[in-house]
Amino acid sequence: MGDEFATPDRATFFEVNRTRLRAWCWGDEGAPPVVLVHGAYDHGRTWDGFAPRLAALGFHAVAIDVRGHGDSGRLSSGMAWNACTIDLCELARVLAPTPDTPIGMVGHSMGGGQVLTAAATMPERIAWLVNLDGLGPSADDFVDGDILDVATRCLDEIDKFRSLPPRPWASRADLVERRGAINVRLPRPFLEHLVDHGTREVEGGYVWKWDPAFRTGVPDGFSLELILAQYRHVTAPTLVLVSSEEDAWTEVHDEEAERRVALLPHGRLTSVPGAGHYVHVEQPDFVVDRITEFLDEIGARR
Amino acid sequence: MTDLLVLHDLGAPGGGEWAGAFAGWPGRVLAPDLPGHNGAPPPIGGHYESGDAVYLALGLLRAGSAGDVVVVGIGHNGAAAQILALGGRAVGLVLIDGLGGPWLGPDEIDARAREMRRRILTTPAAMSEPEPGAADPRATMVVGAADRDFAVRQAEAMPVPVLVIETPSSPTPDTDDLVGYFPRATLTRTDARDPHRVAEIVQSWWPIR
Repeated sequence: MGDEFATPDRATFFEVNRTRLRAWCWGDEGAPPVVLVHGAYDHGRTWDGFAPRLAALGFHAVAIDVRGHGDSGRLSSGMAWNACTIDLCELARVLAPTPDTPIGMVGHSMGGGQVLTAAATMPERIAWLVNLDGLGPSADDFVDGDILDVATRCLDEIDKFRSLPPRPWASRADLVERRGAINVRLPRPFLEHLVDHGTREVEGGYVWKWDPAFRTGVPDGFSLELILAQYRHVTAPTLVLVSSEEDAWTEVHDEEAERRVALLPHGRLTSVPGAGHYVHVEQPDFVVDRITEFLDEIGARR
Repeated sequence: MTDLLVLHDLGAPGGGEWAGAFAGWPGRVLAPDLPGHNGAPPPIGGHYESGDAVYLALGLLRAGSAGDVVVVGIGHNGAAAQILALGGRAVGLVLIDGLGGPWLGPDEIDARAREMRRRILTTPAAMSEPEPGAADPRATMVVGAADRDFAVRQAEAMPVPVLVIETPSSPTPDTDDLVGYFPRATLTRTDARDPHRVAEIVQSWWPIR
C-alpha cells in the first residue's frame, strides 16, 4: 500500500523495566526529549505525521511502541497498566538522566491516561504533558454489570487467547477495511499506514502486531474514582485536547471533561473543533498550534 | 472425584508444602509454584499482577482436563481464587486469610499504587532481570485487594460453597461481617497458617453433605 508519511530519523530499542520498547525517533538527539505514547491497538508509527512537527519545535521526539504493541515486548497477564507506567517512568530517566533535564510526554487515548499516571507517579521528573482525548472511559462505562457474567467472560477470553492463535486476515486491505469500519472518521491514508506498520505476515495472511493478551484481564474493582484520584498528584502543566465530535473510542468531553481537568492542579482544556477521537490526525494544524502556544506559555521550548 | 487447586500466597516458599499437606485428598492436587516463586520463571515481561495466578490456574485446568475442582486461595491469592469460582471454574472455594483488606478508599488505593510503582523504580533488583532459579524480589510487589465494595459484590454473587479459614495473619478487619455476605459460607479460625492443620480443616469440610 502507498505511504505518504515521513520516515522516522532513527529506529531503536530501549531496554527498560525488564522489557524491550521499540522507539521511533525524530529530531536532534541533544534537544529536550518528548515521549509520544499511542493509544490501545495502535503503535509508534501512528505519530509519523505528528512527530516531525513536534521535533521541528525544538524537541527530540521519541515515539514508542507501548509494551504489548508493535515490536515491543510481550505481555503476561493482561494489559499491565502498572508495568506500562513504570516503563514510561524508566524511559524518562533514561532520556533525561538528571533531574534538571526537562522531559515532556504526549499521549493519545489510552496513552493519554498512561502519561497522566506516569506523571502522578514521578511528578519530580516530568515537566509537562499533552493529553489527546485520553481522559479515560465515561462514567457510563463503569456501571457495574453482573459479576458472574463478567468473570465468566473474562476467563473464557483468557482460555480462548491461550488456545487459539490470532485469526489471520487474508490481506492488509482487509485489515484496512476492518479498522476503517470501526474508526470511521480516520482518513484512508492513515488507516493504510496504521496497517502497514501494525501488522505482520503469518501463515494464511496477516495479523495485528499487538499482543492478544492485551485484550484480556480479570475483574479487580477498577473504578472511575481510582482514575480521578491520581489527577491531583499530576503537578506538571497539562494541556488536554478533547474531541468535539462523536466517534468510536471517543472519551469524555464537554462538562465531564471540564470536571476531570479541573482536578489537575495545572490542567487546561481545549476542545478540538471538527475532530473525533484522533484529534491530532483529523485537525493536525489546530492541535500543533495549541501545543506550540502551550509550550511557549510554560517556557518549555528552547 | 474432586480435584484440588491450591494457589499459595505471594512470597511463600511455593506450592510444595501445600501439595504435601494435602496428600490425603482423594482427587488430584494441583499446587503449582506461582511465577517468580521457588525457581518458577517470572511472568513474560517480568512484571507481576494480581491476575497472574488466574492465568496460571486456567492453563493448568485446561491442560489437566480437570473435572470438578475446589480452589484454595491463600493470602493475596484469595482474590484469584474468588475470580476462578465466580467464573465457573470451581465447585467449592477455600479462602485462607484470603478475603482481602485492609479496606481503603480510592485516594488511599491510588496512593498505595503510586508508592508501589516508586518502590519498584527505586529497587534495582526489581528493575533488572531476575537471577534464574532465585526468588524474584519483585514477585511480592503487587497491590492487593483493598476495595471493600468490590469484596462485598464478589461475596454476594459467589455461586459455590465457601470455607473461610482465618488466622492471626489475616489482613481482613471485619471477617465476620464480610462472611455474612456469602450465600453459603463456613468460618473457621485457627491459630496459625500451618498447611497440615489447614488441610485437616478443609478435608473435614469437603465434600459438603
